Amino acid sequence: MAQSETLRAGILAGTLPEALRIYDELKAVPGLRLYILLCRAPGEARGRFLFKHAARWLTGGGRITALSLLLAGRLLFFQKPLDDAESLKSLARLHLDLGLHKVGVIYREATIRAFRLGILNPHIGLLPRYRGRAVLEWSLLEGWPTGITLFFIDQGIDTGERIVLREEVDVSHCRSIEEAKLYLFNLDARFFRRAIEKLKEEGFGYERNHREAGRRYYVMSGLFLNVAEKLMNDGG
Amino acid sequence: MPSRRTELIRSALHERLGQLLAERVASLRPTDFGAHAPFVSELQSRMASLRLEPTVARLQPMPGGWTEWEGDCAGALRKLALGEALTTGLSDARPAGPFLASLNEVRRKPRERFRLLTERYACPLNITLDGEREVREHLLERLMVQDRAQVEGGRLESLAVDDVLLKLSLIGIYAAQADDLRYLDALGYYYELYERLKLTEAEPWLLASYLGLYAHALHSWLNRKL
Repeated sequence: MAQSETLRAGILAGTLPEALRIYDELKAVPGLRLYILLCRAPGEARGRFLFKHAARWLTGGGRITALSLLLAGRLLFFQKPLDDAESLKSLARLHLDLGLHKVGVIYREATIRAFRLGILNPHIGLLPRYRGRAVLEWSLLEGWPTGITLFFIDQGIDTGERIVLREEVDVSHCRSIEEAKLYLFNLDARFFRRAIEKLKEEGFGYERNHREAGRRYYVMSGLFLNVAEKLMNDGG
Repeated sequence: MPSRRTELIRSALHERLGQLLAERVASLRPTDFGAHAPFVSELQSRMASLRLEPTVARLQPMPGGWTEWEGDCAGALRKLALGEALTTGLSDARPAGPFLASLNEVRRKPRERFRLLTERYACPLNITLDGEREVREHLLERLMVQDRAQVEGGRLESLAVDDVLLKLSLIGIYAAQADDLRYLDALGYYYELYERLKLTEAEPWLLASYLGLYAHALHSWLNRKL
């Protein structure tokens, strides 16, 4: 991808503060045009969705930024699911190159295809080995490094083939698994920025997410969770 | 010298095994199991010796190829839960692909799924074969995603309980032999949901066989290098 090319990216978020946090980190990246796409969580009533955002706008920070984005048509509310025909039309009109995943929804193929490059997911585990859930806990239990992987999702569980960025992240300073997870989740904006910078590099190539090199993990029993927590307390 | 990680895992498994034997297995009432009361009594007796002599019982090693034995899946699971060996002979391999497709077709029909699984794994040791990897992963996923959601949501019918316990028993055989903690942990996860796994009229013995196979799996992990 040419350095000079402008990338159009949409932050897919569930709340305005989350979106603005990512926006603030990315706004200075040269050649990047950002949109905020606020999505309704599955099962959330429309009225509650609108009230929630209005209330957060009135009481939270970043009101001026949000208002200016709204007036510029770069802050959009998706009241219907992202794979609904109406939502897909709205997405198509934006001609976005990539989506930045920060919302608790599952994307269908049509939604993923609405973004030229795809939707980038910050996964708090090292792919290809750790797919699925509780990957931080499983990494600790199995004695593997913890970290973050930025990859383009597909419809499977962490099986998207194109890895943009993958890096070990030390969490030994954290005092609990909950704290370590929060720490990793909050690195998303910084990792999004670095991934976008990599995507814009001349001659950039994806690392492949070899499915056969990893496993899908699931929620962990209380027995092993307790072990992982003790290992966390010991300093990772 | 064992690492701190190894020590912690070993200690957790040891504690779980003790609790499983002293509380869960010992508290089973054979009379609740109808015609299978003798099996449950025998299991309690064998498990007591497993506790006293930690190196005695071992599950039968993985077969070298597709294997048959003279009995059916239910009989084999009960024997394996008791720590007995099956007398087996090699047979022609059966491809896993079409079977997996059939399982997926009946994913919402626990009775059908139960029948398919017990037919294919008439000799349940076959679940440990390399060629069964996709089936094992499928069973693990069903247990830890769809079934778990149903159990935790209190939406598990009697038929589905048998199906869940059968899957747990099958992966329990693999967990005892494999170098993969996810399978052992699935058994442990359901151990923690034990109160929600009720005895069913159709196959009540499955609850006891699951506990027996979990005990063997824990025991096996405690007797190896982690």
